[in-house]
Amino acid sequence: MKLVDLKENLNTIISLVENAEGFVVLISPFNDFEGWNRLGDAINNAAERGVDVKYYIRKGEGYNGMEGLKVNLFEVPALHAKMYCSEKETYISSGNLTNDKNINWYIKLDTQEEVSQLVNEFYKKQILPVAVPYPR
Amino acid sequence: MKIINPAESINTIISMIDHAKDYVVLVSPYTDLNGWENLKEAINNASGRGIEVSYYVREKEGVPGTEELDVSLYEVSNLHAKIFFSERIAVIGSAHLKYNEDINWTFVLDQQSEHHDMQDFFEKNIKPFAKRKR
Repeated sequence: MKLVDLKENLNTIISLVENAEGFVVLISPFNDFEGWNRLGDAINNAAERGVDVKYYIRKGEGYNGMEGLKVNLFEVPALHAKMYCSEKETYISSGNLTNDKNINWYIKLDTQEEVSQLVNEFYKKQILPVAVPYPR
Repeated sequence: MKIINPAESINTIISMIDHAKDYVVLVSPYTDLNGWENLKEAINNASGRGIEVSYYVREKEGVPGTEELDVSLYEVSNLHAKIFFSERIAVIGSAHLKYNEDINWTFVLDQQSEHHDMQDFFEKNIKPFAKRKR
């Protein structure tokens, strides 16, 4: 694991999306893209170059500025976990994708064992079985 | 680092507290300990045997269920990180110390370098901005 410098937290996720070539999975229960174009632009650019972008939000929390995103959006009941990954990089965090001044840590998982634990024990067991496509 | 079965998350934090020999730091921006008698008991037992227990919450959010805790309580503006550590081990999660059915993950940081890195994050980004509440 490698901790990200606090000032670079959100830039790290934008960079992850920009560098993706195969897929991106964003798990962020609460979201607020109002007045925050950089991440939205990066996500749409990725989708336009053929990257499969899946975005999981907490059920009932709504769009909050995400209306223009060209992603596969899913709702998950009671979602509170955060995870951001592509085929190249995986991060866990205490923070949602909200443009605010909150103090959060972001950690890059830098071994295959760490990534496998998260994907197998969390994403596949707790998220995929209960995720529902968001009605658009 | 090792991921924890969700059913064992709180027991992992309690075990960390139970085995602490010097200090415990609990960082939970949002907190509601009402009904969590085993967690509160572990915290007060640690304080009772001389362990320094510090508890950090987000400013102005309230701390229901902590009235009888024997801890040093601090508030931090904009706090949203969740970290729980002793001098031996650190636990990180996406969950606050609130009893609910939310979907979260929890990791134990059991390597010395991982523990050091997370403690360093706390010392640089949280502790300097903390205000003593009680």
